Amino acid sequence: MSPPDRPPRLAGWILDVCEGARGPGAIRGDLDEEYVRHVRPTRSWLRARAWYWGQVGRSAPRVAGAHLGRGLPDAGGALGRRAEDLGFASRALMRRPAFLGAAGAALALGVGANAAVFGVVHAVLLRPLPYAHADRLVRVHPDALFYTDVAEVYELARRVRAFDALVPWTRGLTLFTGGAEPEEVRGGRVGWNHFQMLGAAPVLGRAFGPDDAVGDGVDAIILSHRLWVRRFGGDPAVVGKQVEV
Amino acid sequence: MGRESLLGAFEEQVLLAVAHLGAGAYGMTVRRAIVDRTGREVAIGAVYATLDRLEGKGLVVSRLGDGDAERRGRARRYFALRPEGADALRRARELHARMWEGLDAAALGAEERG
Repeated sequence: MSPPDRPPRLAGWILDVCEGARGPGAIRGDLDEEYVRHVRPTRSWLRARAWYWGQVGRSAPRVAGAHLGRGLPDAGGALGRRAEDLGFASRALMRRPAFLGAAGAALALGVGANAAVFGVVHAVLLRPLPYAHADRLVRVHPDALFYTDVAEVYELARRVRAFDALVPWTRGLTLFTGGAEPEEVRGGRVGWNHFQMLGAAPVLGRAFGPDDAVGDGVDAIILSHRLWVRRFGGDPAVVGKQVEV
Repeated sequence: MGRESLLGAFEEQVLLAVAHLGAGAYGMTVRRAIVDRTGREVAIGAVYATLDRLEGKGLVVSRLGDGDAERRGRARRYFALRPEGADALRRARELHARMWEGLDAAALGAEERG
């Protein structure tokens, strides 16, 4: 079966877009006519398509520049000339593909690096914490060298009136020993009023209460959403069950 | 009479092609006329950009014609030389002639070639 003799559709569509929806389509019509009448009958299918694509590639910046220039409020004035300048600049760049590639790669690297750095700055410094009064949360360090005792924190909370609540917390790794296989997870030990202070509540079950602070040999835990889904398959019945840690 | 701007080399070629083609001058025939006579491959977009510029200068005038099956109904845009365009071509030719006056084309560059 011989390939169809129609000009490449995608290339034609690109030209249509550059010429603008309100254009008469004369440029694409001319190209299609030339392709069907003169180019395809004298060249192989591949060469004919290469010719069409070549015409579109070299014409598109000019046609788009002219279309944009016509759309500007003062088509013959300063803005129109700027559009012509842009068209000229893009054609000059197309004639130097190596330079264009190097400049594009340098630009992409620069933009990528900046985006990465901004992503970190935004996450660490700019984006507020996801709590009700994030601007009123502070971290209190009594000393750079020593950890604070839990009793000391509660004593501070009792004496210092500057804080609505003062909650001790510490981070660490916890070992889940129950279940099919043991797993080490990141966790923390917090004062019973931790979630109350943050203004956050668990999706399932309950937050810690004053009774949880009483040492009865069983500690209450709240699972992160990720751990709940991964280790317990997102099962809501896990609330109230005992696990070994 | 005000100062007329000079025609660029490609503008002159496009105007001459329009003059040669007469009533059959539209984008692709203009392009073919230039390719056939100069042996230079020209992009259709360059031809249209130049024709638009010449129309802006009042040297040519365009009208939309018919479309057919090969063009899938897309109209042809025909161009015709205006009297101002003919004057511009005559001036360009006079300018060429004046610049060539006193020069022997065959002898140009002979000294450098030794």
